[in-house]
Amino acid sequence: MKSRIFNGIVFLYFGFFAVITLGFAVYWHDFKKAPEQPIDFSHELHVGQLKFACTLCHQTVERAISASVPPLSKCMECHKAVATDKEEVKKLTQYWENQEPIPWEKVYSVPEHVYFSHKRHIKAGLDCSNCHGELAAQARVRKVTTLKMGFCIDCHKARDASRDCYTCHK
Amino acid sequence: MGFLENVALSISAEHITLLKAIITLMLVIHIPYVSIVMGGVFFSSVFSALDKRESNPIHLRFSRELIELVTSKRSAPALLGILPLFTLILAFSQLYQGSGFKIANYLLIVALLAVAGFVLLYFYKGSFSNRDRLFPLHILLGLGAVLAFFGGYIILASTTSLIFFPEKWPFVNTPFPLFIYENEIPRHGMFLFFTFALTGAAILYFYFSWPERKKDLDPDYANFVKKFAAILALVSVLLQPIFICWNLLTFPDAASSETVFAVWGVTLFMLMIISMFLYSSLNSANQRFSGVVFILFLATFIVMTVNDQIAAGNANFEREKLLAKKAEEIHQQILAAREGRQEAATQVDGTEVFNRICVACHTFDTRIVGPPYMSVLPKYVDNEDALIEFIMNPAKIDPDYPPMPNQGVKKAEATAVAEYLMEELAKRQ
Ligand code: HEC
Ligand code: HEC
Ligand code: HEC
Ligand code: HEC
Ligand code: HEC
Ligand code: HEC
Repeated sequence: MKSRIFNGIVFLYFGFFAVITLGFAVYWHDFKKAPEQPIDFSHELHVGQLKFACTLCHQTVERAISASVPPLSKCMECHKAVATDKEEVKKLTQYWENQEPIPWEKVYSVPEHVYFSHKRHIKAGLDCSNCHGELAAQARVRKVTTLKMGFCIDCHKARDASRDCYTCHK
Repeated sequence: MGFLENVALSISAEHITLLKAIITLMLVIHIPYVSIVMGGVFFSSVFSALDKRESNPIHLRFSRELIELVTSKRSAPALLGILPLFTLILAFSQLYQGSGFKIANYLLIVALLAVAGFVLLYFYKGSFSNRDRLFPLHILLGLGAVLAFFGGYIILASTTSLIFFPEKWPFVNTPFPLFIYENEIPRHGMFLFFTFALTGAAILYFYFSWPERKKDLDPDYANFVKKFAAILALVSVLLQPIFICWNLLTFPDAASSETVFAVWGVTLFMLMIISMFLYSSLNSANQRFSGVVFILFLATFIVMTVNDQIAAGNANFEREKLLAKKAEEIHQQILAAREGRQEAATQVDGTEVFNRICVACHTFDTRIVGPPYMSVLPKYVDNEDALIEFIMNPAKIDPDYPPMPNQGVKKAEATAVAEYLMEELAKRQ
């Protein structure tokens, strides 16, 4: 009898933590996992295999705050002729014919109250991989760094960049 | 150094899998053993001190027997302690070579502390014969062993937790990778209470189920040992889920996957079964479950270790993929060099190179990514060297096109493909 009560309590206790674990799993799956993109665009193919430079598509990364995701017209410069028989490229052509922009899911972002500029960092000689990892091995973009404040500060400390609050919080 | 770097870069996919298997195996051998030793020396010291404060033959006997238990196999410290630790250092340092993660340095400190721990442990055991005369020394030796072990394995827990967090690696510049980020604290808790839980389970097993156990236990003493070990294990197991969830709360997103969460679920289930068995051991005279509990503990530890390896693989996915790719390229180059040592460039098949690399962007007649060959090749007639040079080192030429990415072709391949292109051009003109 006593042991039945104990087992019941233990079952509820572990069940409680199992539910919390499930909660973490669902949260991660819905918000933190690499999002599925409307078109299965692969950096592994375009960067790893074909060896296109990042700036071919992310054209503003060296001169502006935002790196910018390429407009559809950029893809079509090549894909009017390349791989037109492939399923994903047909989808791409569909967007092009409908004159719709592709609704890419954002992967990397910082909150509103943080100011971040690509230009300054690229000019300082940093590589994209410092913050985005090795895209050449990613068939789908995933967030490999946290972009938490500690991440920015660690590097600013190591590289002797400004750590004044107003540098990043305007 | 150049040679070493090449070794670092040529870790193939199979090699990576093998290293991970070795790491898992060594952790599975080493950690449970060290856990029992640590728990043993810790509680032996505690009970020795308790007996000093208030004389109690049961405490003294238990203190002495605990230390005998953990030192009963002469070869164990070498075979289960030091050898796996140094194997781990070698395997980890290969797997993380060139990554900026100074894991070998951290583990070397762990190994030094572990060696110190074992030495102090044996001195402590020896000091039992002079315990009454030299009690301060005796207890200091026990305490020293405890501190050395716990110090070492707290560093190990921090280090293995840092594996999930590559973004911190370049910025750890202390020899002790302690308190770098918040995930370490639940990991310390998991490790500490796993140690206590396994110690409890091991005591139950070695006193009540082991074929070589002492069979002359008087009921009072047996009851004391049973109560102590079962309660220790039970409380520690019940604390474990708190640390598991805390760990998940602080776990890096890039190391997670559905599998990792599912395996934590399995771990929770196993811990629940263990605690039910432990409770029934506590309340019955019969200890038939203590063997099962001990095996279940080891199984749970294996599951947790494998889970950590999966998570480490997730966190380091891109790095490992690129390493394997690079190794494959080096392997192909070596094969090609071996085959083509006598026969020179002419042996490379230009058509094959064209179809493997160039077709993605070029045809002869139409623009795709690059210009149609018919419009650009004529200027290279009688100037094949310039064409070969361009193929190996493409420069920006026509503002109407994106620059041609360097395809990394070898001299022999470039020569062969250039020859093929010129032949085709002549045919088509
Ligand atoms: C052929 C064009 C192309 C090239 C070359 C390219 N990218 Fe992209 N990149 C894209 C597109 C399209 C997206 C949006 C879709 C996606 O996330 O997969 C993207 C998304 C990204 C993102 C995620 C943005 C976000 O937050 O949603 C990062 C980071 C990125 N690229 C980095 C790089 C880096 C670094 C390189 C060079 C190594 C590179 N890219 C080269 C086309 C390209
Ligand atoms: C500079 C030229 C170029 C640009 C720009 C470019 N691609 Fe590609 N893309 C290629 C080449 C070359 C291939 C490989 C074709 C092959 O393997 O035969 C390819 C392959 C693909 C494929 C794979 C088809 C398959 O299933 O194998 C997809 C999808 C794709 N590109 C999407 C995009 C998108 C989306 C963009 C715009 C962000 C883009 N590409 C921009 C050159 C380009
Ligand atoms: C110092 C860190 C850092 C470096 C280096 C860096 N990025 Fe980023 N990147 C970020 C951050 C932070 C964001 C999120 C920005 C936001 O939310 O406004 C981001 C966002 C992006 C995006 C999403 C679109 C956008 O601009 O919001 C792309 C694409 C991108 N980066 C590409 C690149 C490329 C290509 C390079 C290399 C040339 C690069 N990044 C180098 C930190 C970095
Ligand atoms: C890998 C290293 C690195 C990381 C990570 C990094 N930074 Fe920087 N950052 C630098 C360096 C180096 C400079 C100095 C550039 C210069 O001198 O112009 C800089 C400069 C800046 C500046 C401009 C400073 C000024 O003087 O105006 C801002 C703003 C900034 N970083 C924000 C961020 C934010 C926000 C993050 C995190 C999302 C971040 N940085 C992450 C290296 C880094
Ligand atoms: C190098 C850039 C950088 C500097 C310098 C910096 N921050 Fe931040 N801070 C960030 C980023 C990036 C975030 C967003 C973190 C996130 O996404 O959760 C942030 C978030 C915050 C938050 C919101 C809470 C949190 O952690 O998410 C507070 C509060 C804050 N910062 C305060 C400060 C103060 C105070 C200073 C000066 C001592 C400072 N920051 C300096 C980059 C910076
Ligand atoms: C990823 C796409 C891509 C691949 C793969 C590629 N090229 Fe190109 N190629 C280009 C582009 C883009 C240009 C135009 C460059 C320019 O005008 O600046 C070009 C231009 C050329 C030219 C003309 C140079 C000139 O003087 O105008 C030749 C010849 C050439 N490529 C040969 C090759 C050969 C041979 C291969 C295979 C080994 C190859 N390319 C693979 C994209 C590619």
